[in-house]
Amino acid sequence: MSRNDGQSTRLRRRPSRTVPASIVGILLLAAGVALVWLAVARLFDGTWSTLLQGPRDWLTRLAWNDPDVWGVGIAAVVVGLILLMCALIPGKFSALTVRNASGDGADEERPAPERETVMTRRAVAHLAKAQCVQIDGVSSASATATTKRVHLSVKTSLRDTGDLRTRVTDGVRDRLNAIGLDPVPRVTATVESKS
Amino acid sequence: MRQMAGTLNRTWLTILGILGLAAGIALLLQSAGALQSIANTAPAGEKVVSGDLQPFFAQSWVVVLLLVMGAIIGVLGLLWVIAQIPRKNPADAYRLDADGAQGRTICDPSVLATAIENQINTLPGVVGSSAMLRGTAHEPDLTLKVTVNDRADVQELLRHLETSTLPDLSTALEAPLHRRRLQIDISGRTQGTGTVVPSTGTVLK
Repeated sequence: MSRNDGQSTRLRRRPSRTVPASIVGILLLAAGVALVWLAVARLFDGTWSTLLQGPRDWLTRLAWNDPDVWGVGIAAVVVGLILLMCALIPGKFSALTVRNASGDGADEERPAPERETVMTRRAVAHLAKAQCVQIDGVSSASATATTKRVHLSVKTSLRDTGDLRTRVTDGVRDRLNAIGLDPVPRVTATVESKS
Repeated sequence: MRQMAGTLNRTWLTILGILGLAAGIALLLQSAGALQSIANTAPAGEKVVSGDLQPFFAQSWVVVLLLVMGAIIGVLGLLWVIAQIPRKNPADAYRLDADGAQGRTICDPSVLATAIENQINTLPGVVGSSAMLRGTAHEPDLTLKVTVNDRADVQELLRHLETSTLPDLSTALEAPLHRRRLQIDISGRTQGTGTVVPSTGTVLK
């Protein structure tokens, strides 16, 4: 858990849940500051802030089977479930694994190090797009990549797109294979004629 | 290259999620009157606060309790927010030779990292790179981010790294590399040192 141990962490990782953690952290901070402020104000003034009058009256007239208590209970269950889902749903990997070169530089005196080679999803999409626009007949292209699939949206000026989709998917798949992505993601494409 | 607080976030989100879920279910059971038969709590029709709150909150220990609770919750929240800042988590200075009688040799890992970057930047297709050394001098742990142009031969680059750059580092440290992590990024830019030359022409068959 510590990040002061001077060790590297895996580059191919799941999302780190920064957004929900930041939101909950800021809410906790705000709640803590509010409590401290109320307590300090009470110590200096000798009376509780008038801001507490409303919640105090609300609590005093509240019964256990009141609709407000049901509402608070349901809200707590929903918030609890959301936090649990944020923590437990693993999310997509940030990068794709690249096959290491065959020669690892190891010998009897020097054992092979633990190796990890990755390419980010954005880099794979960039590469697929760059390869795609090299193919004859492609006017422009955009690409999206996940760890399992690369999808290309191709625009062409050809009236008859013919085998362009096959040429695009084959060309991009060959390039991804040559780079050494392991496993090679499934390549799909949609071709749109501009005319 | 920078490290995030993924494990910390998952742990605390799970703990708070379980607490919120348990509190919500308990409150709903109490409102429905089901908790009374299980845990002998107050009947569902009864008031949540039976007496007057004024005398309770007039006690001085309640103020101190709220102050301490607020301080703890606030500090924990602040630490959690600060933990979201990505960290480099670099290595301390490498102690290459620590024989007190003979003197000692200390090496700043960033110096080695710069040398690695300079070497990698000369490789074909490389647009830029950054290196981070962690671990110790005896168990170096290298994390690399190499940006290549979209025409680069990635497998050839990996072979260069494995057969030239990384052995050079091991030789310099006189210790085998313990761990090597490499992130490859793609850029549309061409290499600064100019080995990639875009050209056009007609192929005659």
